Amino acid sequence: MFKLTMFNRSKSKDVLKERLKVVISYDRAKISPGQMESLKAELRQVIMRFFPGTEQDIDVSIEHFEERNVRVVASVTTS
Amino acid sequence: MQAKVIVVTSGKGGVGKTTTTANVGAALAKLGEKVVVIDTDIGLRNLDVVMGLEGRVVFDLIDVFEGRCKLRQALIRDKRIDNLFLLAASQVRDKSALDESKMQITAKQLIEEEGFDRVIVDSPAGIESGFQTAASAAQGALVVVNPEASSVRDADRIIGLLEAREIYEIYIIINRLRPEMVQRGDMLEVNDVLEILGKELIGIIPEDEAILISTNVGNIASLGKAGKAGEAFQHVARRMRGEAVPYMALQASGGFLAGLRKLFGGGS
Repeated sequence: MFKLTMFNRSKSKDVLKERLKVVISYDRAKISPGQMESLKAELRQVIMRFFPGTEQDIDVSIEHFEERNVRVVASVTTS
Repeated sequence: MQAKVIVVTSGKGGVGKTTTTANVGAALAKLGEKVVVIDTDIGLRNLDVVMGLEGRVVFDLIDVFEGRCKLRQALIRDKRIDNLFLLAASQVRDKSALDESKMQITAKQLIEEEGFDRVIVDSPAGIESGFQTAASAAQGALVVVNPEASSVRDADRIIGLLEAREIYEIYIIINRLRPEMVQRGDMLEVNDVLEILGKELIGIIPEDEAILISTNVGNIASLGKAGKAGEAFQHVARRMRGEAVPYMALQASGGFLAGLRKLFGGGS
Protein backbone atom coordinates (compact mmCIF):
# COMPACT_ATOMS: atom_id res chain seq x y z
CA MET A 1 0.00 0.00 0.00
CA PHE A 2 2.80 2.43 0.77
CA LYS A 3 5.01 1.21 -2.03
CA LEU A 4 7.15 4.05 -3.28
CA THR A 5 8.97 2.66 -6.26
CA MET A 6 10.68 4.71 -8.92
CA PHE A 7 8.04 3.72 -11.44
CA ASN A 8 4.35 3.95 -10.87
CA ARG A 9 4.90 5.73 -7.61
CA SER A 10 1.74 6.55 -5.68
CA LYS A 11 1.55 10.24 -4.94
CA SER A 12 2.53 10.98 -1.35
CA LYS A 13 -0.13 13.70 -1.16
CA ASP A 14 -2.88 11.18 -1.94
CA VAL A 15 -1.67 8.98 0.90
CA LEU A 16 -1.71 12.00 3.23
CA LYS A 17 -5.17 13.05 2.09
CA GLU A 18 -6.65 9.66 2.93
CA ARG A 19 -4.85 9.52 6.27
CA LEU A 20 -6.08 13.01 7.17
CA LYS A 21 -9.67 12.16 6.26
CA VAL A 22 -9.59 9.20 8.62
CA VAL A 23 -7.85 10.92 11.53
CA ILE A 24 -10.02 14.05 11.23
CA SER A 25 -13.16 11.90 11.16
CA TYR A 26 -12.15 10.43 14.51
CA ASP A 27 -11.27 13.90 15.82
CA ARG A 28 -14.66 15.31 14.83
CA ALA A 29 -16.62 12.35 16.16
CA LYS A 30 -14.60 12.58 19.41
CA ILE A 31 -14.05 8.84 19.37
CA SER A 32 -10.71 7.04 19.56
CA PRO A 33 -9.77 4.34 17.05
CA GLY A 34 -9.86 1.86 19.96
CA GLN A 35 -13.40 2.83 20.95
CA MET A 36 -14.39 2.58 17.30
CA GLU A 37 -13.13 -1.01 17.22
CA SER A 38 -15.26 -1.84 20.27
CA LEU A 39 -18.28 -0.21 18.64
CA LYS A 40 -17.69 -2.23 15.48
CA ALA A 41 -17.45 -5.50 17.43
CA GLU A 42 -20.65 -4.81 19.35
CA LEU A 43 -22.54 -3.66 16.26
CA ARG A 44 -21.49 -6.81 14.43
CA GLN A 45 -22.85 -8.98 17.22
CA VAL A 46 -26.19 -7.18 17.19
CA ILE A 47 -26.47 -7.32 13.41
CA MET A 48 -25.60 -11.03 13.38
CA ARG A 49 -28.43 -11.74 15.85
CA PHE A 50 -30.89 -10.40 13.30
CA PHE A 51 -29.09 -11.54 10.16
CA PRO A 52 -27.53 -14.90 11.03
CA GLY A 53 -24.73 -16.08 8.79
CA THR A 54 -23.78 -12.61 7.51
CA GLU A 55 -20.55 -12.25 9.44
CA GLN A 56 -18.45 -11.76 6.32
CA ASP A 57 -20.87 -9.24 4.87
CA ILE A 58 -20.99 -6.66 7.65
CA ASP A 59 -19.04 -3.49 7.19
CA VAL A 60 -18.80 -0.76 9.81
CA SER A 61 -16.90 2.39 8.97
CA ILE A 62 -16.53 6.04 9.90
CA GLU A 63 -16.80 8.44 6.99
CA HIS A 64 -15.71 11.97 6.39
CA PHE A 65 -18.89 13.63 5.17
CA GLU A 66 -20.10 16.90 3.70
CA GLU A 67 -20.56 20.11 5.70
CA ARG A 68 -17.92 19.11 8.25
CA ASN A 69 -20.04 16.19 9.43
CA VAL A 70 -18.92 12.67 10.09
CA ARG A 71 -21.10 9.60 9.84
CA VAL A 72 -20.72 6.10 11.12
CA VAL A 73 -22.08 3.59 8.64
CA ALA A 74 -22.95 -0.03 9.28
CA SER A 75 -23.93 -1.98 6.22
CA VAL A 76 -25.08 -5.57 5.85
CA THR A 77 -25.25 -7.40 2.56
CA THR A 78 -27.79 -10.21 2.57
CA SER A 79 -28.52 -12.52 -0.27
CA MET B 1 -16.25 39.66 4.98
CA GLN B 2 -18.92 41.36 7.06
CA ALA B 3 -16.97 40.87 10.28
CA LYS B 4 -15.18 43.88 11.71
CA VAL B 5 -13.36 41.91 14.38
CA ILE B 6 -11.43 39.06 12.81
CA VAL B 7 -9.20 36.52 14.52
CA VAL B 8 -6.21 35.10 12.65
CA THR B 9 -5.61 31.60 13.94
CA SER B 10 -4.32 28.12 13.06
CA GLY B 11 -3.97 25.84 16.06
CA LYS B 12 -0.45 24.85 15.09
CA GLY B 13 2.40 27.26 15.65
CA GLY B 14 4.77 28.53 13.00
CA VAL B 15 2.39 28.42 10.05
CA GLY B 16 2.36 32.19 9.48
CA LYS B 17 -0.35 33.75 11.68
CA THR B 18 1.69 36.81 12.59
CA THR B 19 2.95 37.33 9.04
CA THR B 20 -0.62 37.02 7.78
CA THR B 21 -1.92 39.47 10.40
CA ALA B 22 0.71 42.07 9.51
CA ASN B 23 0.33 41.70 5.75
CA VAL B 24 -3.46 41.51 5.59
CA GLY B 25 -3.82 44.35 8.12
CA ALA B 26 -1.41 46.55 6.17
CA ALA B 27 -3.05 45.71 2.84
CA LEU B 28 -6.50 46.62 4.23
CA ALA B 29 -5.08 49.91 5.53
CA LYS B 30 -3.56 50.61 2.12
CA LEU B 31 -7.05 50.17 0.67
CA GLY B 32 -8.24 52.94 2.97
CA GLU B 33 -9.62 51.10 6.00
CA LYS B 34 -8.70 52.25 9.49
CA VAL B 35 -7.12 49.09 10.88
CA VAL B 36 -5.73 47.98 14.22
CA VAL B 37 -3.81 44.72 14.59
CA ILE B 38 -3.72 43.22 18.08
CA ASP B 39 -1.08 40.79 19.30
CA THR B 40 -2.58 38.42 21.89
CA ASP B 41 0.46 36.16 22.21
CA ILE B 42 1.24 37.35 25.72
CA GLY B 43 4.83 36.60 26.74
CA LEU B 44 5.83 35.77 23.16
CA ARG B 45 5.26 39.14 21.52
CA ASN B 46 6.24 39.22 17.85
CA LEU B 47 3.84 41.28 15.79
CA ASP B 48 5.76 44.44 16.79
CA VAL B 49 9.03 43.12 15.38
CA VAL B 50 7.40 41.68 12.25
CA MET B 51 5.97 45.12 11.53
CA GLY B 52 9.18 46.95 12.37
CA LEU B 53 7.50 48.81 15.25
CA GLU B 54 9.38 47.21 18.16
CA GLY B 55 11.07 50.47 19.13
CA ARG B 56 7.78 52.26 19.63
CA VAL B 57 6.05 50.05 22.18
CA VAL B 58 5.35 51.93 25.41
CA PHE B 59 2.07 50.46 26.63
CA ASP B 60 0.54 47.12 25.70
CA LEU B 61 -2.76 45.23 25.69
CA ILE B 62 -2.40 44.09 29.31
CA ASP B 63 -1.72 47.68 30.41
CA VAL B 64 -5.05 48.55 28.81
CA PHE B 65 -6.82 45.59 30.44
CA GLU B 66 -5.43 46.49 33.86
CA GLY B 67 -6.07 50.22 33.58
CA ARG B 68 -2.47 51.46 33.54
CA CYS B 69 -3.10 53.52 30.42
CA LYS B 70 -5.88 54.72 28.21
CA LEU B 71 -6.67 52.62 25.15
CA ARG B 72 -5.53 55.42 22.85
CA GLN B 73 -2.13 55.62 24.57
CA ALA B 74 -1.45 51.98 23.72
CA LEU B 75 -2.24 52.37 20.02
CA ILE B 76 1.01 52.53 18.08
CA ARG B 77 0.69 54.28 14.77
CA ASP B 78 2.49 52.63 11.85
CA LYS B 79 5.40 54.60 10.45
CA ARG B 80 4.38 54.03 6.79
CA ILE B 81 0.59 54.28 6.77
CA ASP B 82 -1.16 56.58 9.20
CA ASN B 83 -4.43 54.59 9.30
CA LEU B 84 -2.70 51.41 10.52
CA PHE B 85 -2.18 50.81 14.25
CA LEU B 86 -0.67 48.13 16.46
CA LEU B 87 -1.77 47.09 19.92
CA ALA B 88 1.18 45.09 21.23
CA ALA B 89 1.18 42.07 23.54
CA SER B 90 2.84 42.27 26.94
CA GLN B 91 6.24 40.58 26.92
CA VAL B 92 6.62 40.38 30.72
CA ARG B 93 3.34 38.67 31.60
CA ASP B 94 1.78 35.35 30.69
CA LYS B 95 -1.52 34.27 29.20
CA SER B 96 -3.27 34.26 32.57
CA ALA B 97 -3.41 38.07 32.24
CA LEU B 98 -5.85 37.70 29.35
CA ASP B 99 -9.53 38.18 29.99
CA GLU B 100 -12.38 37.48 27.58
CA SER B 101 -14.73 40.18 28.78
CA LYS B 102 -11.96 42.80 28.70
CA MET B 103 -11.07 41.69 25.20
CA GLN B 104 -14.67 42.15 24.12
CA ILE B 105 -14.90 45.59 25.74
CA THR B 106 -11.62 46.69 24.13
CA ALA B 107 -12.73 45.53 20.67
CA LYS B 108 -16.03 47.34 21.08
CA GLN B 109 -14.27 50.56 22.11
CA LEU B 110 -11.89 50.33 19.17
CA ILE B 111 -14.80 50.20 16.76
CA GLU B 112 -17.35 52.42 18.43
CA GLU B 113 -15.15 55.05 20.06
CA GLU B 114 -11.90 55.01 18.09
CA GLY B 115 -13.61 54.54 14.74
CA PHE B 116 -11.72 51.52 13.46
CA ASP B 117 -13.15 49.75 10.42
CA ARG B 118 -11.33 46.54 11.18
CA VAL B 119 -9.77 44.89 14.24
CA ILE B 120 -7.45 42.02 13.30
CA VAL B 121 -6.51 39.81 16.25
CA ASP B 122 -3.37 37.68 15.99
CA SER B 123 -4.03 34.57 18.06
CA PRO B 124 -1.35 32.55 19.87
CA ALA B 125 -0.85 28.93 18.84
CA GLY B 126 -2.77 26.26 20.72
CA ILE B 127 -6.41 25.79 21.65
CA GLU B 128 -6.27 27.01 25.25
CA SER B 129 -7.05 30.31 26.97
CA GLY B 130 -4.86 32.44 24.69
CA PHE B 131 -6.70 31.31 21.60
CA GLN B 132 -10.07 31.46 23.36
CA THR B 133 -9.50 35.06 24.44
CA ALA B 134 -8.28 36.05 20.99
CA ALA B 135 -11.44 34.58 19.49
CA SER B 136 -13.77 35.95 22.14
CA ALA B 137 -14.47 39.27 20.42
CA ALA B 138 -14.34 37.97 16.84
CA GLN B 139 -17.21 37.76 14.39
CA GLY B 140 -15.04 36.22 11.70
CA ALA B 141 -11.84 34.20 11.33
CA LEU B 142 -8.98 33.68 8.94
CA VAL B 143 -7.59 30.18 9.45
CA VAL B 144 -3.99 29.92 8.24
CA VAL B 145 -3.07 26.45 7.00
CA ASN B 146 0.14 25.04 5.57
CA PRO B 147 -0.52 22.18 3.15
CA GLU B 148 0.96 19.50 5.42
CA ALA B 149 -0.33 16.89 7.86
CA SER B 150 -0.22 18.49 11.31
CA SER B 151 -1.29 21.96 10.16
CA VAL B 152 -4.38 20.64 8.35
CA ARG B 153 -5.40 18.46 11.27
CA ASP B 154 -4.97 21.31 13.77
CA ALA B 155 -6.86 23.71 11.49
CA ASP B 156 -9.81 21.31 11.55
CA ARG B 157 -9.79 21.33 15.36
CA ILE B 158 -9.63 25.13 15.42
CA ILE B 159 -12.55 25.42 12.97
CA GLY B 160 -14.61 23.19 15.27
CA LEU B 161 -13.76 25.42 18.24
CA LEU B 162 -14.58 28.61 16.29
CA GLU B 163 -17.95 27.16 15.32
CA ALA B 164 -18.56 26.22 18.94
CA ARG B 165 -18.11 29.94 19.68
CA GLU B 166 -20.70 30.68 17.02
CA ILE B 167 -18.17 32.24 14.68
CA TYR B 168 -19.32 31.16 11.25
CA GLU B 169 -17.59 33.59 8.87
CA ILE B 170 -14.51 31.42 8.57
CA TYR B 171 -12.13 31.52 5.62
CA ILE B 172 -9.04 29.51 4.79
CA ILE B 173 -5.67 31.00 3.84
CA ILE B 174 -3.32 28.38 2.45
CA ASN B 175 0.16 29.60 3.29
CA ARG B 176 3.60 28.43 2.16
CA LEU B 177 2.35 26.58 -0.87
CA ARG B 178 5.17 25.19 -3.01
CA PRO B 179 3.90 24.90 -6.58
CA GLU B 180 6.72 22.60 -7.71
CA MET B 181 5.88 20.10 -4.94
CA VAL B 182 2.17 20.27 -5.74
CA GLN B 183 2.95 19.57 -9.37
CA ARG B 184 5.00 16.51 -8.38
CA GLY B 185 2.13 15.18 -6.26
CA ASP B 186 4.12 15.63 -3.05
CA MET B 187 2.06 18.44 -1.54
CA LEU B 188 -1.69 18.66 -0.96
CA GLU B 189 -3.47 20.66 -3.63
CA VAL B 190 -5.65 23.62 -2.69
CA ASN B 191 -8.83 21.66 -3.34
CA ASP B 192 -7.62 18.73 -1.21
CA VAL B 193 -7.26 21.06 1.78
CA LEU B 194 -10.64 22.70 1.18
CA GLU B 195 -12.35 19.32 0.74
CA ILE B 196 -10.93 18.05 4.02
CA LEU B 197 -11.70 21.22 6.00
CA GLY B 198 -15.08 21.97 4.42
CA LYS B 199 -14.56 25.73 4.38
CA GLU B 200 -14.12 28.41 1.73
CA LEU B 201 -10.85 29.77 0.47
CA ILE B 202 -9.80 33.42 0.65
CA GLY B 203 -6.09 33.24 -0.18
CA ILE B 204 -3.25 31.14 -1.54
CA ILE B 205 0.15 32.41 -0.44
CA PRO B 206 3.15 30.84 -2.14
CA GLU B 207 6.35 30.13 -0.23
CA ASP B 208 8.41 33.25 -0.88
CA GLU B 209 11.87 34.25 0.37
CA ALA B 210 10.82 37.87 0.03
CA ILE B 211 8.66 37.49 3.15
CA LEU B 212 11.66 36.55 5.30
CA ILE B 213 13.78 39.28 3.76
CA SER B 214 11.09 41.94 4.36
CA THR B 215 10.63 40.78 7.95
CA ASN B 216 14.42 40.88 8.52
CA VAL B 217 14.38 44.62 7.99
CA GLY B 218 10.98 45.36 9.54
CA ASN B 219 9.14 45.87 6.27
CA ILE B 220 5.73 44.45 5.41
CA ALA B 221 5.72 42.69 2.04
CA SER B 222 2.16 43.66 1.14
CA LEU B 223 3.07 47.36 1.46
CA GLY B 224 6.01 47.31 -0.90
CA LYS B 225 6.45 46.28 -4.47
CA ALA B 226 5.11 43.02 -3.23
CA GLY B 227 6.64 39.90 -4.75
CA LYS B 228 4.34 36.92 -5.15
CA ALA B 229 3.42 36.46 -1.49
CA GLY B 230 2.97 40.17 -0.84
CA GLU B 231 0.71 40.39 -3.86
CA ALA B 232 -1.25 37.34 -2.69
CA PHE B 233 -1.81 39.05 0.69
CA GLN B 234 -3.06 42.16 -1.11
CA HIS B 235 -5.54 39.93 -2.93
CA VAL B 236 -6.76 38.51 0.39
CA ALA B 237 -7.51 42.04 1.60
CA ARG B 238 -9.44 42.85 -1.57
CA ARG B 239 -11.45 39.62 -1.33
CA MET B 240 -12.27 40.46 2.31
CA ARG B 241 -13.76 43.68 0.98
CA GLY B 242 -15.97 41.73 -1.39
CA GLU B 243 -13.98 42.07 -4.58
CA ALA B 244 -13.83 38.95 -6.79
CA VAL B 245 -10.08 38.81 -7.37
CA PRO B 246 -8.96 35.89 -9.55
CA TYR B 247 -6.32 33.60 -8.06
CA MET B 248 -2.94 34.23 -9.60
CA ALA B 249 -1.01 31.66 -11.54
CA LEU B 250 1.85 30.36 -9.42
CA GLN B 251 3.49 27.91 -11.75
CA ALA B 252 5.64 29.00 -14.66
CA SER B 253 6.41 25.64 -16.24
CA GLY B 254 3.65 23.86 -18.16
CA GLY B 255 1.88 27.11 -18.89
CA PHE B 256 0.09 29.40 -16.49
CA LEU B 257 -3.35 27.90 -16.92
CA ALA B 258 -2.19 24.32 -16.60
CA GLY B 259 -0.24 25.30 -13.51
CA LEU B 260 -3.19 27.02 -11.90
CA ARG B 261 -5.50 24.11 -12.65
CA LYS B 262 -2.94 21.78 -11.17
CA LEU B 263 -2.74 23.75 -7.92
CA PHE B 264 -6.47 23.60 -7.42
CA GLY B 265 -6.58 19.96 -8.43
CA GLY B 266 -8.54 18.32 -11.20
CA GLY B 267 -10.12 20.24 -14.02
CA SER B 268 -11.67 23.12 -12.11
